[in-house]
Amino acid sequence: MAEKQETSKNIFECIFKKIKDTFYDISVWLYNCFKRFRKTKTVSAENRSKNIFVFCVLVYPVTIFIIFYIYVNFNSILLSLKEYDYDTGRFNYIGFENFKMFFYDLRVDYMLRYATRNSIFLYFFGLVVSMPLQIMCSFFVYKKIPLSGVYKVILYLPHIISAVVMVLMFKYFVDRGLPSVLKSLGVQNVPNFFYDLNTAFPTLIFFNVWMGLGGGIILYTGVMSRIPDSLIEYGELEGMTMWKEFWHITVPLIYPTITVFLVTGVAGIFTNQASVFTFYGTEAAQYLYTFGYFMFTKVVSTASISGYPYASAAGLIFTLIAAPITLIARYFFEKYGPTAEY
Amino acid sequence: MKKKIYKQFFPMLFFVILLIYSISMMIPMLWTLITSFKGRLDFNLNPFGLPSEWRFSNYSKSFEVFYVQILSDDGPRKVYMVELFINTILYSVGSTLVSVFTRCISAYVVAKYNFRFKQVLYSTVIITMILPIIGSTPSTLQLMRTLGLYDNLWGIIFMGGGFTGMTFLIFYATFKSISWEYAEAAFIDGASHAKVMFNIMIPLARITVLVMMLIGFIDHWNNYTMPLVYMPNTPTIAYGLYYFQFNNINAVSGVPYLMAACMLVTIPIFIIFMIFRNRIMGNVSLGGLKG
Repeated sequence: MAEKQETSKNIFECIFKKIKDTFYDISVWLYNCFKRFRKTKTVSAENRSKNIFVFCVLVYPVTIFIIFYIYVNFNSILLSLKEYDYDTGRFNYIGFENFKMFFYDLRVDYMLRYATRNSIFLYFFGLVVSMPLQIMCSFFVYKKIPLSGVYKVILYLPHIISAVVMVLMFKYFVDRGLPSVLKSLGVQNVPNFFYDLNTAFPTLIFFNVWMGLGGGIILYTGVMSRIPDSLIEYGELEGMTMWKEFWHITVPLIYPTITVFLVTGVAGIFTNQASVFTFYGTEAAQYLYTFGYFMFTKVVSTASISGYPYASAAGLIFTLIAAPITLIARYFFEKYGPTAEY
Repeated sequence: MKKKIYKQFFPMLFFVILLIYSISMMIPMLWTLITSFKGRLDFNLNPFGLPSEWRFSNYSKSFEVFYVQILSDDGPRKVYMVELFINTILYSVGSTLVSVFTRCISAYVVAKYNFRFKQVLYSTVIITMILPIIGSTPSTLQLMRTLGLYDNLWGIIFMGGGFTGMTFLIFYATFKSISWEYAEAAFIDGASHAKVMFNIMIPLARITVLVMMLIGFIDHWNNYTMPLVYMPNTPTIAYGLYYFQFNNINAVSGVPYLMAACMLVTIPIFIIFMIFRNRIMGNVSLGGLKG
């Protein structure tokens, strides 16, 4: 009985072995058949898996870019030629009416006149006062005057504290805290800093310069710290004074950063709202208008769908002014500025 | 001797300027902190000095006092500060994760792989940074309304993906500086492309990822214009602060409460900044685009 089982087991084993061997033979035969394709196939498969990977990674970011940059800007042009129809809730083409209206407003509307004046003034004020002040202060922070480590942390605060919080702190301090100090010091007729015709705009300018100084210093100091020490040590051996170092080493080497600011500043004329919205909401006085504020109030409230075409037209005109200036200015700054490689 | 005085004059002058500036920066902040502990009457009588009685309850009270009126599906509703903070955390964490992650992986691919549109993508980033396009917000808003993403938290987070901006360039520079040999070794061991990216290359760039995440989080936490324009019915705390100053402040005449709210918004960010300040501030030196 036991012997019989063993033989039957052997028979099964034999059959399994036969089948296994047959499969092995087939696989060897198949392997040999496809051997000549094999090498090229791996390369193309690898290439394909690489392409699939790259595609998978980029598909979402590129789609977003195409929709929210390319399509949006194209749509902006179309939108500027349209008008909102309250009855149907659709936008209909009306030609260049929005552009005509904007140019008409530019001549007639006080808001836009003030906006032009204020925005251009802010740009040049930033150029003539803020930027030199920032660069000079950065130079001395970089040269490690006493407490420069502490200054860096304090100067960084406007960067990390919300603009709303900064505005609220400043606004209520100047509005409520400061007058009581001035009164106790014996100053009569403390002006209403935010709502007085003579003081509101200067207060705003002061706030912007004051806020911008810290960030500017941090940035320029960062760039200056990349200047190689060997250059400065060499200059010191030659008996270079601090002024000479400033004019002949620091300024040329931070020049690329300065140009970036000058160039982006041109577009800033039309986009920078100089915190007006944060201070005053939608109810700023006319003489405080800036282009950025003008544009922002046009789109901010939920009920202003009808204002979209007009705002698009204004934006398009601003772009047509700012973009060429930016590109040309950039070209000239790069071509005729001091060049330095380090 | 005279020369030495001359040499010391300008550093001293700017030392004084910076000292005055720093003090002028600290005074409103300290004033805000002190005011946030004052009682209402105390503040009206004595807006500048120390409080006669320190009221820590202002902080808990500001959670009850401030709200943003919104339009929900079931009509007007008041959103109080707890919900504002929840919205803020969802918005800042979500937006930061999406926007930093997409820039990180696209910068990785552009820096490390060869494919047909590689150069096009890189140039696109540079061009979008140089070319000023003004006033595309109305068009974006119209598109968002059409797609049903307007006034939708997830819509705003979704829109934040993309590959342009300074973050891309910083990641690009980081990945360029990491040797490709690590990846090659992994490929020989049979790792897939995705595995190499997630398990080897991104962990190697973890400091840049961390810093970009922190900066992104701080930016989104503080940003009030995006919620204001794109999702007015999902207010965040920064938008709430903007809203309070025009809407609730007269009703409760509570400048101290408002200042307490300001401190509540600032403190989390300030703590994050103080912990990671060297990393965050060290990153600034990367600024200044060369292209």
